[in-house]
Amino acid sequence: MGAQTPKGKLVANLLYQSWRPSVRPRQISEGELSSITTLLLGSGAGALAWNCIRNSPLSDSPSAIDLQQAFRLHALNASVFEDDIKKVLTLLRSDNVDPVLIKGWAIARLYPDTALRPYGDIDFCVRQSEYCAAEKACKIPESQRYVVDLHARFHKVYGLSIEEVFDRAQVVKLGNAEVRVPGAEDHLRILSLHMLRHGAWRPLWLCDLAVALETRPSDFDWGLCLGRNRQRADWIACSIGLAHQLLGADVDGTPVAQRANRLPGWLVSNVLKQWETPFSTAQPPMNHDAPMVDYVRHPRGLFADLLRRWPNPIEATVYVGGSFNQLPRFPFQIGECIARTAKFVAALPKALRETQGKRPSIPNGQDT
Amino acid sequence: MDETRNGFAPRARTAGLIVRELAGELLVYDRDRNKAHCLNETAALIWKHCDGRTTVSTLRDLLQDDKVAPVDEQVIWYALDQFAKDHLLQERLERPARIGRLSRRELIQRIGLAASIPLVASVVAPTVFAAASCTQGCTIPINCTVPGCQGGCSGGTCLPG
Repeated sequence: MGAQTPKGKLVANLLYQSWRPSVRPRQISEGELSSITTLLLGSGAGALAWNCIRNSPLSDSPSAIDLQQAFRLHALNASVFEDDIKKVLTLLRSDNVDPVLIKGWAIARLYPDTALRPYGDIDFCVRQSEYCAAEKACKIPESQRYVVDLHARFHKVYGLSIEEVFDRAQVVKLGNAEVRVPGAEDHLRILSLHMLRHGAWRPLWLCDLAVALETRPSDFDWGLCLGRNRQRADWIACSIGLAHQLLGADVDGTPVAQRANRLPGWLVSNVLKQWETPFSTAQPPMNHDAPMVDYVRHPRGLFADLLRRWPNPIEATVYVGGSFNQLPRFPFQIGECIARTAKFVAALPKALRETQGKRPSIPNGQDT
Repeated sequence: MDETRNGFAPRARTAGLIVRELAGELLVYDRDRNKAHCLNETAALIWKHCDGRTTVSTLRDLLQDDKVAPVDEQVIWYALDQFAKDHLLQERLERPARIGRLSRRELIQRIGLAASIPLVASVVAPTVFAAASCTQGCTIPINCTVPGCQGGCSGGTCLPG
């Protein structure tokens, strides 16, 4: 690796096949590791990075010590969360709500050690008919210490209904408790589209995809995972292609292998570029100074904040339902801006009524 | 701590602790105090045998068997001192008058091998968690790993501090 290797590429090289139980030694210098340590820690990939260098001469370097501390913290956090999940499940089940756990532990469990994959909340899917009971159970004082996200429907981009996810859910063991998680096909689809919908800025999402792909059961139904919609199937294939090209995920023998090796150049380079700042604070809406509605009354700073809202090409393509082809992304980005502006204008009267009399949230405001 | 005929039998605290074993070390998170500790192999071995029945002299024998070398009882007391300081024992530690308190340096001089010294270190968030912010989600204070945002956990978000 040369001294001029971009940081995004260094991150990719270090995390190459990092989810596997046995990790090959890395060709990375202490200086290079030091230059990306903040990126790894800030994006939640610190523990995975530690897993890659723990048996190398770099393991005593100051950067490695930070990565090891991250691993230890994630290990404890994983234990705390596993305890919490069981408690929340007991609470929900006592109210006759039997949810499906998605993301978080549902994906961390596929790694060789749950400490390798940190998560910050507990995402539960519940049936629409059980949503009120679930919400009530999560609001009692006993539940207040847990960070639970309830979902009663999926965004249209996933092309999945809650009922379908429930019907195909599998039961897995968490210690002595039983937890329902999505079927492997649904989970791979959710992980792929979630990553694209959010612009693929977090390296950990691609590792998730890779681990879900490589740990899929032998009877994995690709037809179910990719679905009937050709556009969506191609998005999923491309996201798996990113995991293959950037992180070395094994796509041999899959129906997406050909597509995985033939991705548009802009897609790969855009992901690597984003991995140079893989922090939630650098992403919308956290990087916005204020909600747009505030600028209607106080336009100062509007232009700079509009620039910050310029959409990421991956996110824009998915938002407008476009294809991942060789064409320039500019029209998709313009398309997303127009669609978002139309949505904003339609919601403006209500938003203005709600903000009347309130002080503007500039700076460091957050979109609602 | 029980005092048996053969000496003190320390008991490790269990309530409010989350324990996780990693390669060659034991991580202990104290939910009540929001402190995380990392016990090295020697400290972990001693702590795991603090069951209220195993005396200090038996602990020494166990450690001796593990290390395949003579172990000074001071090593056990040194570990117990650290456990007590970090509230990892069930009851207050009462050291017999005949046992003096040694510093880590004195212990190393006496025993020779630094690696055999039981060590309980704090697990703290790396200082380079710089790029995130206090918008980090949390359920308990230990989730708050960003410097400047370790003031506790409230309403699912880390507080400045």
